[in-house]
Amino acid sequence: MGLIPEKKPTAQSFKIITSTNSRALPPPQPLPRTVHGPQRNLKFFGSVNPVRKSQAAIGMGSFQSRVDDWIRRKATRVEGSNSMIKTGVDVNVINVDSDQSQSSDMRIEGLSIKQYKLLVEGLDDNSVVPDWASRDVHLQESKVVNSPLGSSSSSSSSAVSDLSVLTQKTNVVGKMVDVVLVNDAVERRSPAYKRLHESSKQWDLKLGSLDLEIRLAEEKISTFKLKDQAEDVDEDVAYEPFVPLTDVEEDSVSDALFGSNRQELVVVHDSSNIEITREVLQCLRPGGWLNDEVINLYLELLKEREKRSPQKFLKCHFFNTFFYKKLINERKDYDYKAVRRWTAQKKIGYNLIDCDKVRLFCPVLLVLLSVVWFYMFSPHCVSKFDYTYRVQIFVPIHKDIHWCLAVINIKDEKFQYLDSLGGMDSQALKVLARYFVDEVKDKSDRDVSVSSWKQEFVDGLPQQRYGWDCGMFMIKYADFYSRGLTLCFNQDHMPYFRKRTAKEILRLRAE
Amino acid sequence: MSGVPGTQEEEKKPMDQSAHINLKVKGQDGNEVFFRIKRSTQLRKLMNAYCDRQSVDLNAIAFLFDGRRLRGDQTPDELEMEEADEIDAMLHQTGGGHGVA
Repeated sequence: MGLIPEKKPTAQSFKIITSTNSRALPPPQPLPRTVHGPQRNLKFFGSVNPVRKSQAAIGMGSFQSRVDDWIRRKATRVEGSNSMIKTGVDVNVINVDSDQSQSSDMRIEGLSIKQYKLLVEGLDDNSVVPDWASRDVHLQESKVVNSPLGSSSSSSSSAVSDLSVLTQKTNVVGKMVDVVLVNDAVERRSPAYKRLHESSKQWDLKLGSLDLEIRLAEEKISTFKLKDQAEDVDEDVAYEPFVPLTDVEEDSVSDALFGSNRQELVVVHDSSNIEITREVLQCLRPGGWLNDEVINLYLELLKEREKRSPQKFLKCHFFNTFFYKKLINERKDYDYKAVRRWTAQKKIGYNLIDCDKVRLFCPVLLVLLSVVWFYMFSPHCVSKFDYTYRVQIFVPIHKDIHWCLAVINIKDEKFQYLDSLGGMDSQALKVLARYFVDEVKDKSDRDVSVSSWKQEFVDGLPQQRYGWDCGMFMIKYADFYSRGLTLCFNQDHMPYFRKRTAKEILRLRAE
Repeated sequence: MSGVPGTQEEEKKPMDQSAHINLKVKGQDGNEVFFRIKRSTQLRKLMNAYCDRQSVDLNAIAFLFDGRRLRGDQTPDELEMEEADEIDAMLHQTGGGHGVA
């Protein structure tokens, strides 16, 4: 992308070089002998000769002679700078006569590049450098063929800027000479080291562009890698809920589920104080009805899983199976006070409802700002939620002999109800909506409106085919939702999920 | 010197008062049973007393304090319980689906 514009200057330099080459082709005019006097014109012409020679034989020796020549010229320039107009006239005269000064200057620039190439080749035998050099030479040759031989500099299209300046100068011979032109002419006679430096800068550009190319390539490679990784992660995410048990795990699970000592304590979860005996765990046998202890422990493990690798799982809160029973008391009345303390930050270790104001990310709309400002200080403000916090709250609902799941989906602003038998309980969702408003008010002292939130009885749920798997379906709804996955399982997975759940409970670690 | 026993007595009095705590156990049916136990006494004693009184098996009930399961060896001190705090006595739950019911 960024390479093309950067190539341009070098291309221009090639043009200039070729123009000098084209002009170098006509046989050199017989040169007057060097006159040892203050005649600057002759001195100037005298300098052309060694340059021509050096063009024929490119080497370090000729370069040295050119440097010497430039040192002499520098002295001339100092002389010329004393009377600028006079120098300008000089330059013009030279131009009209034969255009030699221009061509010689140019050639030196071209040669200096060649010189530079040789130097680079000599110093560093890197394969890239000869490649550039050969390309450069090729370009020069082609240009020589294309450009009209022996044409004057003014008609040559390749020598763009400098030559046009000279053409202008030919028109003003004998008239007033522009100081700017003079300056230009003077500048053209800059010392050789400067020229070399300038020409080497062209390679800096090339090197820069190559650097850029390398960086681009590296970035491309890294993006490919990232893509691969992302694909891997996606595959992992889809695969992780279905990882088969190893033989050792199968053995330990069947031992726990089918062992004889039913009162044996098989696992104790310290942070939740849930103790599971073999008898309790055996509800995970095929066809068994899941009990509250297995479900509650599994939900605790899901909580710990999210804490362990927060980047992989959504921030969720899992209420236990008793929460809804307390929220709806024995008289089926809504009783917020009964569960008010359940979500104290001291108890659960985080803020269940992290209610935050609308955060302004766009600094442009001052009008909006003022509106928000108004809302911030108005007494009945409507709060929005910081979605970086809990995005889902899972509420298991026990209906006498059936397990369902309700979800307060803060992220999508809806209350969901998932029943593996396809049941609907709008009363439960209403109760949870009320609870949510009360909870926000209690914990954050803010009024939140959920009137716009949807009530969703999730369609196309995986459904149970038999009369014993609702608990398993319920905890898997929570498992998959907290992974951010769709519910991509069905009844056929239940035997595996039972064994997997037993394994995860035995190891006190959900994956 | 004379002031020392006096302050000790004053310290002892609230200590005596705070050594005991009144707790309420609320059953799932809404019945409330009040208990007065030492702060350092294990809650197992309270649980057993409740189950005896209600004529239920200890294993049939889950005792919760602020939503968290209670263990028999925990004490009110340990849980930083306060006067008149409420313990929930919940019946264990099970379920499989409507179909079989």
